[in-house]
Amino acid sequence: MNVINSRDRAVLRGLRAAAQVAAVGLTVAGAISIARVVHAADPAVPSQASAGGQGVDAEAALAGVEERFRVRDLKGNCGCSACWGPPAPPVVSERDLTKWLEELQS
Amino acid sequence: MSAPELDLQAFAEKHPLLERGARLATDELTEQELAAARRNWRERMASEYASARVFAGLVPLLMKAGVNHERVADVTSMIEEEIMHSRLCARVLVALGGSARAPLPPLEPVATGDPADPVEAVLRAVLSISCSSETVAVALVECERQRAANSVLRDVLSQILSDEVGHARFGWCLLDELGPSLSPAARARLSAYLVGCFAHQIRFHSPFLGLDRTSERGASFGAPDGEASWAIFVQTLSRVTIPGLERHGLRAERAFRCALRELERAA
Repeated sequence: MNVINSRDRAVLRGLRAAAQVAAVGLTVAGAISIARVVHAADPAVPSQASAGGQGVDAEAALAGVEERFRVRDLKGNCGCSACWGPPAPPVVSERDLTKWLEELQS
Repeated sequence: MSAPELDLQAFAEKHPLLERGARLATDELTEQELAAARRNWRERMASEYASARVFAGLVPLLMKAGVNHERVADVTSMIEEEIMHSRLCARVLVALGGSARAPLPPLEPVATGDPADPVEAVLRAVLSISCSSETVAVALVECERQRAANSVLRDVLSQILSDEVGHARFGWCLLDELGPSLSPAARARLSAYLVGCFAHQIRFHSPFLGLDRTSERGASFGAPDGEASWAIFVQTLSRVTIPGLERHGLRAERAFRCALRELERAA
């Protein structure tokens, strides 16, 4: 049996809080599906990845490029560390938008 | 030209976090942990202050789209809340023995491109601000609140969390309200916008990867825990934001993969 330490428990609480925020206006079925997804993040619970748990694929994909980002000198909002405050949304040119539209539809 | 400086020292001294300007007891922290905690609260002070302009930039977009006046009023409150968070961070910083002066981060204008449809412009902005950034912020602040060293810091984080919840929920509610009336073409363009939005989110949060993992003691005073923060970002994006946007009929999962390819190409 896995044991959750206080850090992992805090991470999980944070994730649950975010899930509750995003669940506004959802049907009961939708809220249950979010609860399942967050439950899958619980290190004390077997991963749902093999069962096709929603969100897990994206996590795995990001983990694949994580090392590349780790070694790059990427800057956040103020150049030091990422903060809570939202940055300005990205400006997307029509050219990029058209390119991505095609990629999403292909 | 050098960055403008935010100076909240006098304010924080006039409105101390603890009675009679007492310092938070930090004897158990190492010098490095204390310095890291001060640095983090200082960066937050500047970042929260700069975020006020992000919400201010949302106001004309909402007006142009004819969104209900109550929603516009909600956003004007968010501007004040971000300034208030900045002041709270300054008060914590001074209670930790730090100086509440910091350069402001780059103040990019709030624009999302130039969609012809004003509703689409609003939704682009809230996809980035509320459904992505502020939803992650809720998870980050709640995580830190759970780890807080004492009731004073826990109260500060509770106050900030309560506002961040409102900022994030605002976007999800607006998406609920405006989403159903979107044409298939507008929905497709919003999905394409998500590619840029997710790439931007990954870039914005990637400094977490360069931060060391702090001790539980350091984290309890606000020293950054890069590993935990990155895990929160990744899990919130993949388990909350992406599925949430998919439920609203946006192709978020695909857009996310496309964003990763974009970042790889740019590397």
